[in-house]
Amino acid sequence: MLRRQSILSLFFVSFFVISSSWAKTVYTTVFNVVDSYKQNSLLILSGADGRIYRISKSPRNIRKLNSLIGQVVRIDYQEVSSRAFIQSISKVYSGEIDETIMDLNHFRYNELRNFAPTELKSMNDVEYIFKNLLNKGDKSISQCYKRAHIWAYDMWSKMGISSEKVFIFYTKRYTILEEFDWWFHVAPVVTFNKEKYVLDRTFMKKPVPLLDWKNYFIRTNKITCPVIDNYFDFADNQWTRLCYLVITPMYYYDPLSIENRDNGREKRNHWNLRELQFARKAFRNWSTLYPQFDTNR
Amino acid sequence: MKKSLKTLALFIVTLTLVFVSTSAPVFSHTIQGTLVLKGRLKTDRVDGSRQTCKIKIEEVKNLLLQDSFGNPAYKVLVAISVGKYQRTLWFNNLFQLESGTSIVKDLEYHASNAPHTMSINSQGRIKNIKIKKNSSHYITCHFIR
Repeated sequence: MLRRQSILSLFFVSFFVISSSWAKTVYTTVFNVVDSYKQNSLLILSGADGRIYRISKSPRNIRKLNSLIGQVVRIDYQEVSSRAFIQSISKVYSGEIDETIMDLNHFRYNELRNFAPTELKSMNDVEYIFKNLLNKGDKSISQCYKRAHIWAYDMWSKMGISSEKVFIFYTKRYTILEEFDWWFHVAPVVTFNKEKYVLDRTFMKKPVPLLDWKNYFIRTNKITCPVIDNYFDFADNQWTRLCYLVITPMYYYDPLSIENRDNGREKRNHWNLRELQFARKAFRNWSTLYPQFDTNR
Repeated sequence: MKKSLKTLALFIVTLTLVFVSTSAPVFSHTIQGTLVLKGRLKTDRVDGSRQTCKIKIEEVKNLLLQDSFGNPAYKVLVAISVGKYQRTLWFNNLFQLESGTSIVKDLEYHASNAPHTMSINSQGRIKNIKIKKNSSHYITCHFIR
């Protein structure tokens, strides 16, 4: 009897230790709460890391989570098969964390946030990321800037990688004389060993150096596309060059967002929910893949 | 003493020359990207011939080559008719200099496979075209006064 009790106690203690080691904590802003009918649970879109945290659906939880939207919270959670399940969630008390140091909401502009692209550790990492970008025959139903935006978001929210984007802008001289349909194309960029690799999952079979990507999309290796810092260096010079490259932080969605940056209309170092809502539609089954962007409270 | 002063003077002069040459501004070349206008032209103002000169600018494209400064060049398909001389040729505005540098000129063109030249104005209109019929015979057609 005593022996059985000891074994049972040992079992419970072990289970507690093991499950405690799965338990994790995150401080974040509750950016969005979604009632997922398909999954019969509530989803929290976390502002600090873009992840989804799940909790069972109940009237009490619905009331509680809706009251926490926009608030800084502490979430204790467990990971099961890469999904985060909330064990407890509560608003932080005064002094619990220093919100001026912790960057807790990447869906809002933060003056103190300095963007720096992640330096990857190996070419294997670059290739792994590339292979895991969504690519299920979506070219026919989508635009490049939407795909690139979701890929960049996935890299950040699922892998913690801050990437950049490269836009190639074609001038009128190129589009008119070459009878070319596009005026720009964009894809995410990561950095390894101080070299930039473009992850264009739709058009390429592997990550390619920036120069190779440019040569592919201008259809020659004999033309330079100058890298510019200001959109208007492209807009105002349509006949002296065939193309230009602009490299931006991952948050920039389309040419308009770059133009707004450079005419002083908008500062950006954050994700825009509306743009993510549009961008996810580049992929089939987008409502199942990206429910966290719904605003159906 | 005199010898050492001479050596010092020579050293200072050499140093100055090196400084000046290394801090001299790098030569750069920019273009306007003037586009040649398509269309037909006819003129009787022909040097070296009493015939009417007709040309037709059939196509204007990018050459997809650039000069040593990164400026892209154009290529232009020109149909030329002067008496019995009738040819259609590609002209481009990428020139090789003797120094080995290549340069794109906004207002001047040369034929790819013939010793002919063409010049345009800043609006892209053909000013003249110079055709070399043989080693000593040139014909120049003038289109703009």
